[in-house]
Order: sequence, then structure tokens, then C-alpha cells
Amino acid sequence: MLTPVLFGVSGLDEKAAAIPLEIFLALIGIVLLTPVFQPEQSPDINDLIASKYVNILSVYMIRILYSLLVLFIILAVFVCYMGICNCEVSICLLLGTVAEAMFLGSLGMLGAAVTNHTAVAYSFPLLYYILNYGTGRKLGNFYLFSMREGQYTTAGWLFMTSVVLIFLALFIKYLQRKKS
Amino acid sequence: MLFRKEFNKVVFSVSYLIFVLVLVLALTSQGVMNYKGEELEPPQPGQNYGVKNKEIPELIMPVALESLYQEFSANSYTTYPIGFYKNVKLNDRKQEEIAQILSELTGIDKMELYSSVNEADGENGVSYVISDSGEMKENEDGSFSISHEEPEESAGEEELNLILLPDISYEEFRNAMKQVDDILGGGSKYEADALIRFGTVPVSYEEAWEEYELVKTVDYMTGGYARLFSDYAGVMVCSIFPVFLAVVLCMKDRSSRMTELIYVRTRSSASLVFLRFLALLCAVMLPVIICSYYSNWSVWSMYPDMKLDYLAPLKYDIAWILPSVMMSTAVGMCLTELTDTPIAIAVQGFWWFLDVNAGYKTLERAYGLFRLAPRHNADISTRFRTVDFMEHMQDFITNRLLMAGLAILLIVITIMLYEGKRRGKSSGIDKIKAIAADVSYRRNQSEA
Repeated sequence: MLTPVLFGVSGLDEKAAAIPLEIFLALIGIVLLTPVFQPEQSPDINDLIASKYVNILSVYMIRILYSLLVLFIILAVFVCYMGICNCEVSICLLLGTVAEAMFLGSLGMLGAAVTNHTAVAYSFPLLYYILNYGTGRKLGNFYLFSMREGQYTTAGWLFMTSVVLIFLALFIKYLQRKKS
Repeated sequence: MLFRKEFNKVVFSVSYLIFVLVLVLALTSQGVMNYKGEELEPPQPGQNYGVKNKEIPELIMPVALESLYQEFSANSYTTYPIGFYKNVKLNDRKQEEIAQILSELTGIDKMELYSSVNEADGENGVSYVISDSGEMKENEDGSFSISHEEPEESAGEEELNLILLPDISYEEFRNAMKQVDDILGGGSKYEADALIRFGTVPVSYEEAWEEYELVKTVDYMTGGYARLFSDYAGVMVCSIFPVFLAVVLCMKDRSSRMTELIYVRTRSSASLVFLRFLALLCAVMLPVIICSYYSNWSVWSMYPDMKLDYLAPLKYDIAWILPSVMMSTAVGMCLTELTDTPIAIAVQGFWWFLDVNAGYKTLERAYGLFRLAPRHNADISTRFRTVDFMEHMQDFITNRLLMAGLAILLIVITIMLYEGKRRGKSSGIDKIKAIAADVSYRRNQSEA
């Protein structure tokens, strides 16, 4: 909600419109996806869930799917708002932002799965975000701020990698549950 | 004893391992962990010594005018109204106002200026060059026509001779640029104190030599490298990541169900909280100091016959980085104690985000009063801009003392919150839940 105040979203061309989306809006992925495993991090709740017939992985998938849906809706609404403010927005811009948000969120999810601590898990996507400020283009196809330069191919890479990371996080949770 | 326990709790945790990895990775990515090959050579006659900004009206006015016309032509103005990058596109009325100002400065008719921009873009605002000798234009009826003649340059561009009128004084020019800045909403490169950036002049041999001498006598060579290390360490890691350690440590009591057991101990809240704070600071600063010395050590062999300041890394770690670490840690401890949630990560993350992006305009130096991480990004190519650092030393000291003072204040508040909890007074999220439950109970009672 602060984005229009901080950045100004009126009358931007496509490259300029990508800036607030890449820098700010994409961070919503971290907020929505990283805490997917949080409820089960409490030992009491974990024991309770483990005693249920329902497969915990299906519960995680439901959480991931509705988090992604909310993510898409939020970004779509904001992109529409930018369009109303005479910005040159497009479906590619929206999907690119979704891909970036998913990537950051999936990094947090993987961190949460590995460390079993949501607070610590937030540091993974944050570190990656910081690295993009400094080293940026050296990250190649995983550079987060490429849409401002008119490059949309990285969005595909970010999306595919985010899907892989999400499934990897689920696999790690499966192994942890099997071990316990 | 308690200090050692808290210290061990921090350093023997996964979050601490991640912090150290983050520190090393982030600094290595910026090339400040090893300065081998980055020796500051004494300036030699005939070299390029870089550029500097100087307020020379004869230099600034034409360059600023050209820049304004370029942005006017594209109707795309870059501003930093609250420190953040913002691209401004003006409506027709405001574009005419800009055209009016350009007209007053150059003597060119406003309508000619305004229409030349539209003509240069073609009848429908778009023209395409499809080969060196071909040009495709969209006609009024939507069809396209291709011309194989040499594309004519825009009549407007050819005829426009953007020269400042000779009777325009620098003061009048500054006032005109101020009007432009107001139209753009502030924060543009045409505001009064930003105009100097248009006056870039080469640094002379004598000036370069003076700057080199300052590096020798003030920084003792190592200080400049230590300052660059602190700049990156502060902004990338030390003003944000310590909050994770603080949150994890403070929430550990609750997650281990030790809170009530600790509450009944005889040790005072002040002692408990302060030692925890101290343990966090020591744990964070330990790898920072090691990395800073590792980084600076690579410099020592580069200047064998010179007097070096071997304490420079430690001085900058304490004076530059430590206050940022203190603030980040204090925010983490205070908000975690207040709410029993990791909300401190979001709060500190937001502050860090604003701090980093607000410095976008002033990447080279930023010593604002409430800067979480001051900036002084200068390497050997600019001879570490020791002069600039010395000139802003007062602002820097004020900022660092303020950050340290605010951090101590937050720790005092944390002690009070902790003491309140020990005495059975709920706070933060518990208090909100209690109030909500009370309201719900009263409503149920009244309905019954």
C-alpha cells in the first residue's frame, strides 16, 4: 500500500513501471510463502497433526496454493491500479512479478524446511535480495531486477526454479516427518 | 557466567551460522574481503585523476539546460522526492510550463519548443527506422508507408539551437530551475543543492596529490580501505541481519517453555536483558572484526615503507558498524519482548529497506541524522574521498551517537517490559488478547 507513496506510479512507461513491482511488490512473496510450515513448528501442534489421518503434505499443498492465489490477486490488483494510473503495464509485467515473488517466497520456504524456524528462514530471501543490489547482473538468469531493462526471459527461470524449490521444501518436510 | 551462557546460546545456533555465512558471502560479492592488487599509487603527471563537482555557472547552466530539454522531449523526469527513485511524467499543462521556462531561458518560442517534441515523434507519435535508408511511418488511416529516402531529421531538432540567452544570470537560472523542481514535485536534479552535479571538472594533478597526501596523513593508507569495508558491511549485513539473532534468542525462552522458570530467578531484569544484549553484540561483532582485519590485512603488505594504522579496522568497526548493530539488535529485542512474535524482523526490514533505497540518490555519501547505515562508497579511484569524509565527520558522529543512544533507550524499554511481565502484568499481544477477551465477555454478559 505504501508503494504509490514511495515510488509514484503515475504515467510510467513499461520499464519504469517494472521498478516498483520488482523492488517492492515482489517482497510479498516472502510474507506469504515463507510461513507455510510455521504452525507445525510448535511441537504440540506437530504431534497433534501427526496423529491425524490426513496427509500433512496435502495440507501444505493447500496452504501453498491459496498463498499463491492471494499473491496473484494482490499483484494483479496493483498492476490494474497502475494501469488506471496510465502506466504501461502488461500481462508479461504481472507474470514476471509473480515469478519473482514466487522465487523469493520459495527461498524462504526452503529455509523454513531446512532450519525448522520461520524467523531464521526470512534471512534466505533477504540475503538473495541484497545480493541483487550489489552484484545484480552477475546473477544472470536469476537477476531479480531485469524487467526494468526490458528483459523478461529471467522470469521463466525464476518461475521454474521456484517450483523446484517448493517441491524440494515439501520433500524435505516429508523426509523429516518420515524420520520422526 | 550468565553472559557466557547467553553468548554460547547465540553462537551455537543455526541462525548464527547463517549470519556468518551471510556476512562472508555478502562482503565477498562486493570485493571488500581482499584488496590485493588495489594499491593506491601516487598520482603521476599526465594521468586521468577522475572528476569532481564544482559550482562553475558557465559549466553548469548549459549542461543542466540540455538535460532538462532531453527530459522534456521524452516527458520523463527522474526525481527522488523522498529519497526513492521516481519517474515523473507530466500532463500537458505542466509540460507547457516547462516549455515556458525553457523559452524564457533560450529565447525560443514556447509553442515551437512544445510542438518540436511532437513533430520529432512523427504524426502519430511513432516512427520506425527499418534500415539505414528506410523509414516506416504510420499514416492517419492506420496504414503504413515505407520510404527509402534518407530519413529526414526532425525539423524541430535541426532548427532548435538550445543556447542560453547571454543576459541570464546564474541566480536567474537557479530560480528557473527551482521552478522546474517545484513542477516536478521536488527531489529532481534541478533543485538548488543538486545543480552542482552538472558541474563536473577533471581533478588536477595538484588536487590529486593533495588527496593522496590526506590518505597518507589522515587515513594512514589503511583507513580508506577500512571505511569502504564498513560502508558495505553496514548497509548489506549489520543493519538488518542482527535482528534475526535477537528475535531467535528472545523467543527461545518461550519455545523451550523456560519463560516462567526464568521469571522466578533472583537475577534482576536489567541484568538479564542487558547481558543478553551484550552477548548479542559480542557475537555479531566477533565475525565482523575478524572479517575487517582479514580484509585490511591484505593491504598491509602493499605499503611496506609507509606508516600504517593497524587499528583502523577496529576503529571503524566500533565507530561505524557497532551503532547499526546495536540499533538492529535493540529493535529485535524490544519488539519481541513487547509482542512475543517475530514482528521485529518485518519492522527492521522495512526500516532497512527505506534506508537503503533512500540513499539511492546519495549513494556516494549519506550522513543523515536518522540513517541506519551511513554511506561513503569511495575506493582508490577517487582516493577514498577522505576530504568529503572529514567534512562530514560532525554529521557522521552525530548520527552514530544518536543510533547508539536510541538503541540504549530501546534496551531500557525492554528491561521495563520484561520486569512488567515478571510481575504478572501482561503486555503486547497478550494485553490485546486480554482486552479482546474482556470485551467479548462483557458483550456476552450484556446479551444474556
